[in-house]
Amino acid sequence: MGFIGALLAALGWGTDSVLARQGLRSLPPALATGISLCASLAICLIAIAIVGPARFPLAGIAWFGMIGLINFLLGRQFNFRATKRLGAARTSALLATSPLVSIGLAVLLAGEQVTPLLLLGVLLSVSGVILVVGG
Amino acid sequence: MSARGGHDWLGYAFAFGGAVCYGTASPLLKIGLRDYGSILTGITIALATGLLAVAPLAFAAWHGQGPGWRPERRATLFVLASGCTALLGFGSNTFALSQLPVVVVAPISSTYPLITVFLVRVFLRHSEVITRRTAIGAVLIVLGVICVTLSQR
Repeated sequence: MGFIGALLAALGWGTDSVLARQGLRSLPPALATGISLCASLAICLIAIAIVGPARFPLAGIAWFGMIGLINFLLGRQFNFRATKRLGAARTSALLATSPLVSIGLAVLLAGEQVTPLLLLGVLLSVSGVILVVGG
Repeated sequence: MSARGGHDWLGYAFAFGGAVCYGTASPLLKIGLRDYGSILTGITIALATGLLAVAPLAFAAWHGQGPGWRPERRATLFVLASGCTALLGFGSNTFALSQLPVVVVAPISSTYPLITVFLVRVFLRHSEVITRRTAIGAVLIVLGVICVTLSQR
């Protein structure tokens, strides 16, 4: 089941930009962001109605609220603005570099070790970005 | 080069801005799940906050289109479907990570730009050109991200 989950994740994220690109032909990105968040939220609310909500302390609500601002208000809106301007393929490839940011933060803030495999990965990704941007 | 022609630096800035936001949110999400549990409730709170914050911008964008403007039904359906598939991607990845180690999940789930390239080639070939450089670049980014992810195990 986990393997199918990983495949569905690739399929979901891979399809997301293509569908958004079609909608963004006539919708402004901010409005499209709002509409797409409505769809995602509706599904979550249906799921919560079925399984019931978990108890969250105020700090937890604030924490996930902050994630919402970073990931959905900014992240998805930047994603849609880029998709409208660059197209789905380029945007999807550039957004895929996000784990580099996560691990860059881990190296800078948590002092995680820089390994040869990490350096190879960064080199490959940066080469890919240069090709995508220059292509 | 961009869908608009020429180098659209603002478009690239938005794409990298998105990558920075997603890359920053990912470890925060892990911390949140570790400290507070329930992924479903957490994501619902995050989505509701994001929607509340984006609502004024969305209304302003609507009014900015001029009086009497209505969003096209077809475009709205595409964006609604996009919201569903984005959640499918996120939810499936989280589920997969709960079942299998990241060294198995990440190499599969991080191939999504290749799926986008394939779908664009099949469904959007009349409106979006994919050059060989873009396709090779997407492959290199995916390989790089897999190496970076595996280096953390």
